[in-house]
Amino acid sequence: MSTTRTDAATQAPTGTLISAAGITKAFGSQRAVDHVGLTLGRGIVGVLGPNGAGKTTLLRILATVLAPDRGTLSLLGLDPAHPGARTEVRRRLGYLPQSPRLYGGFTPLEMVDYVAILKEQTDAARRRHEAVAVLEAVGLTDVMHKRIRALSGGMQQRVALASALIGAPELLVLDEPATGLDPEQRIALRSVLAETSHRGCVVLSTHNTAEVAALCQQVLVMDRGRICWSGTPTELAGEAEGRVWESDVEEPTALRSWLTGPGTRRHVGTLPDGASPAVPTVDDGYLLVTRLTR
Amino acid sequence: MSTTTARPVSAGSAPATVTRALVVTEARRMLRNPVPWACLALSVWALWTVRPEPGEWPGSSYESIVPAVTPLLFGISVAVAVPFHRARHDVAPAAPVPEVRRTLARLLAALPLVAMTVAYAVLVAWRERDLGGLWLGMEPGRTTEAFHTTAELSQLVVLALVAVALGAALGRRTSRLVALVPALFVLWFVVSVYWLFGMPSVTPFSVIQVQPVHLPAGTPATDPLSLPSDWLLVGSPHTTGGGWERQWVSAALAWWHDVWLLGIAALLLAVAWPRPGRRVLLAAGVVLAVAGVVGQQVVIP
Amino acid sequence: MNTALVQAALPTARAIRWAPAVCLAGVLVAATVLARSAGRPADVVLAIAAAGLAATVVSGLHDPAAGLLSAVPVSLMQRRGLRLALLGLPVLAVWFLLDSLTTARLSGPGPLLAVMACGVAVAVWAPQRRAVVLGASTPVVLFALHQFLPGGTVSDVLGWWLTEPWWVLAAATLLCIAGRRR
Repeated sequence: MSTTRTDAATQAPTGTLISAAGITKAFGSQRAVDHVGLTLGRGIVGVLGPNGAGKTTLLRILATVLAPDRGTLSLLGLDPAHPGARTEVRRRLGYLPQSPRLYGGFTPLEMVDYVAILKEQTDAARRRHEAVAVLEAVGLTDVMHKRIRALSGGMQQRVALASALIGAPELLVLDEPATGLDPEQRIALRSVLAETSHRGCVVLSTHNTAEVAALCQQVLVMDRGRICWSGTPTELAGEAEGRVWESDVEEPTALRSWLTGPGTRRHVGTLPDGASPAVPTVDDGYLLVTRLTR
Repeated sequence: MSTTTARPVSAGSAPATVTRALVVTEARRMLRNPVPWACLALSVWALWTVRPEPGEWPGSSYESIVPAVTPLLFGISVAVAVPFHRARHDVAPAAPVPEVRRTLARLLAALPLVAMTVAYAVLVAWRERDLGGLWLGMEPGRTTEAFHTTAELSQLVVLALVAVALGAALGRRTSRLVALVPALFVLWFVVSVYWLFGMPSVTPFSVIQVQPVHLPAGTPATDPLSLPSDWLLVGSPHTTGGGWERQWVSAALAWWHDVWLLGIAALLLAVAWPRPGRRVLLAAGVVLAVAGVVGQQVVIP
Repeated sequence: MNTALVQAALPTARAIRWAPAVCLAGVLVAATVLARSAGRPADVVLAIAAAGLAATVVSGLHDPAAGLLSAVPVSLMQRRGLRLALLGLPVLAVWFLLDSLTTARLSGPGPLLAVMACGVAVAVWAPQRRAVVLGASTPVVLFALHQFLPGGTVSDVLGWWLTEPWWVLAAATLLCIAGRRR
């Protein structure tokens, strides 16, 4: 008997893949996730937010690693609160934690193969073939027989990413997946994730708004445990429409100002008289949204 | 653009000031660890429960009061192992304070734990006097109640140095902190079974050395009156053939044992020490350990 | 048996760090040989061996890649069970070797299994961040308290793993089963 997950995996999921209502998770008196509700279908969803906003906790809940204290959650049409359903979700899920640690004595191929076994892929030949394929997808074919401890940080991050990708997951939860990757690898990552998003939902957290703009169909902005904004990257940039301008001097009325590379100052806030608005970016929209909700 | 300049520190005092600051920081963290305190409580409790009982074999309480220090030694090793394990990950490797100085600071930070052991040794001495001495023999007219000599009590303090060095060595070289718990436990509690090192040939290699050493004195047929009158004799309690054994306590043996322990401590420190200076520690450790063993062999009759 | 677990056995064995356990076994064998040559009953040495080996097995539950593996369908409890089996079998072999070297009369592998189960139960129920450290410390604490506390009810209870090992094993196993979903 080889694997039990193939039937489920080959069925392309349709409609809602993640549905959450009133999800709350507290650590002591600190509410890390506070009454979060969301409905997500196929595509790539970026979660933005300042440090401590609750992104990692929300992602751990979506990855079934953490159970919410309150609220209802449905992943791939199943309720992960039930052990049997949770196991079924995990068969169809890939998860990359924020600071993944690996076995230094393993090679990338052995590591990915090991994760594949634990994802209940018991057909050795097929598993190995797929492990090679995901390592190729993340650009590690050349080093797949070297020990992980001998690889650079970026390569180790890609091994962890390959481990998350193994098993063609329909739900991929990635906590800051681009950490430690160089620009070329980031672009490669985008195409890998874009391909994965065709068969399911990819939820990733990041601090990189450019990545969100380039990759995601939907953005969630979190602050203090709540989702304070959601929409497309274009809509997020649009939030700053007419509220961004540049000048050579400091503007005390601006919500946020910073010095740009060419030496001018960029401001977000209420446009002063006489100033001409600049073309807004996702960065501007994000800053405005997180500032205004505080 | 304005800059803030730190007050210049004179070249001579800077390293000492930095080391002192590091020592204080590390010592504070070590002393916040509850393990050595819990272990100290257990050792004191174990010390308090040792009291001469009627009918005990000669030297029983005298022997069992020393191994009571074992939990404290375990606790010291655990407390020291934590910062040395932390040092496995490079923190500010480009900072001007070299690794040797950081290691030295961590070791100096363990001195309060050694001081804790000095206090414990003083408590042992006081407790023995409070009990009126510990029963060592039964022959009328001979030594019956005895106190541990200063040399024997000094072993406790030197053992604390070994505990510091062992914690440093294992902490620095073990990849997982959790693996230290069984390792330190087995190492310390096995050597606390002092009678494992009871045979005179093995005694010099003991870690926790417990006196009196039992030396064969005669067969069951030997007339005890024919043996020197200053010997403290006991019937051999553990050999099937019986016979007479001589209970032998020696300050010289204890001092030489301290030298052996200092050698062991230096060798263990060499494991934890960064490359510059490691050879000196190794050489010093070998010399001290060999001298300690030879000295003990010479002293044992 | 679960095919995935069977296939995972070999890589899991490779992921386990064996050096500490091997060194510890060496020290314990040396101590037992010394006890044998001293011609004295080595009950205390075997008790130390039981606690030390149990702590070693429980410390083997530490999995550096636990974060990455936290969302795989093979549950944490199953992965722990696999690690316990892989470490437990050689440790049992070491135990029987030590037992054969001494003249002590402990009740077979009962104390080892009992104190190991106590450690695992603590690791299952303790907060996850410190679970393995607390679990590995449990055999050590039980031994030390039993050894140094004066005779009495508390000391007797702490020594049940030596005197009533099978009951302790049963109770600790039940605790582990009760916490299997944690």
